[in-house]
Amino acid sequence: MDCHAMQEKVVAFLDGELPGPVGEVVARHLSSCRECAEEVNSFRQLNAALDLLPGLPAPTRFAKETVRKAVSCKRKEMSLSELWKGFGNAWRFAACVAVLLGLLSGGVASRSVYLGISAEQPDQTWIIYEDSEPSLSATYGQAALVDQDEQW
Amino acid sequence: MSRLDYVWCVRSCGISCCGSCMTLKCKYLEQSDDFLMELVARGDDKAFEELITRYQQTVLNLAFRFLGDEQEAKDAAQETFLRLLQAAERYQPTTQFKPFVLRITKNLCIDYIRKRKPVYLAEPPDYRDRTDPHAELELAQLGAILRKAVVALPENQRMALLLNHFEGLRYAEVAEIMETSVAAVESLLVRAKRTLRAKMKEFR
Repeated sequence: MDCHAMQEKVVAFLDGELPGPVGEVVARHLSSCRECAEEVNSFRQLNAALDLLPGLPAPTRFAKETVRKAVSCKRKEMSLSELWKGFGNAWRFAACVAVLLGLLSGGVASRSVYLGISAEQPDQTWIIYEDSEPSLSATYGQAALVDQDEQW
Repeated sequence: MSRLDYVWCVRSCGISCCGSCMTLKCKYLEQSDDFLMELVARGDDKAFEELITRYQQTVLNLAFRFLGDEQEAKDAAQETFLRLLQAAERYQPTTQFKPFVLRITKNLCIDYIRKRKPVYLAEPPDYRDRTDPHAELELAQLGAILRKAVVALPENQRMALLLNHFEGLRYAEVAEIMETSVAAVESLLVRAKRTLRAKMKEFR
């Protein structure tokens, strides 16, 4: 193993992650190679410096506050499902029927409103039809004839 | 009272109304994480509190070192335990508990990073007005620089470093939490430590 390959293994060697035979090869190389030994020392210094980095001390009531929050979340979730579970089968059936009837009524009402609105509007297609196909409309044909008479 | 009797007692009368259960309150400390999770799944708040007490420091440290922000770290830590509570029913005792918790923390921390706008850490504090000895001053400044450098690492390198170096997890455990291979973890650590070493050399 050359020095370049050895230096790739230095971190794992310091972490004790190299399997036995590989670890022994690296250890033997480090004992004889000054450059790789310096590489190991520099990583050891880094590890020591990292060990001094502080964490975040847990606030005194962190556990109790978290439990309290969990309980209040659970109460909110349970209220609706517990309410439903509390209903008997007859009440659940009645609730489902009421919802369906409500949807049906809403559909019928909205259809009535739509038909009412659309009845107020003139039939555009007839107007367009008469303008474009005068020969097919008796009314237009008569109007056309009337116009010609007036011109004469 | 045996463990099974204890569980029966919790089901039948609850922890607060049974005299023999009261004596077992102090025995939460003696219970394994897996057993406490079983109790948590049955709605035992005291068992949940004991689990939080055991792992709050580990979770807070990981979240703080990863996110670099105290308030976010506390929020992430609290959310970790709330998710743990939700996962209690499907927790399998064959899973190791610490990596299970840290995986939740890892996922949450990454979500926090993706949601936040870029945050620029403050410059290392100025110790010039203090009368600290030179060595202590230098150490404090180096610590601040390293902390900033850790937070500046790419997410994967940062998480691998925090799980391995600060939480003491083996490469295989880190790989399991990060859902990657041992070789990938090794590579992430080499790159992370080389970056940090370069920062350290710049300072010195």
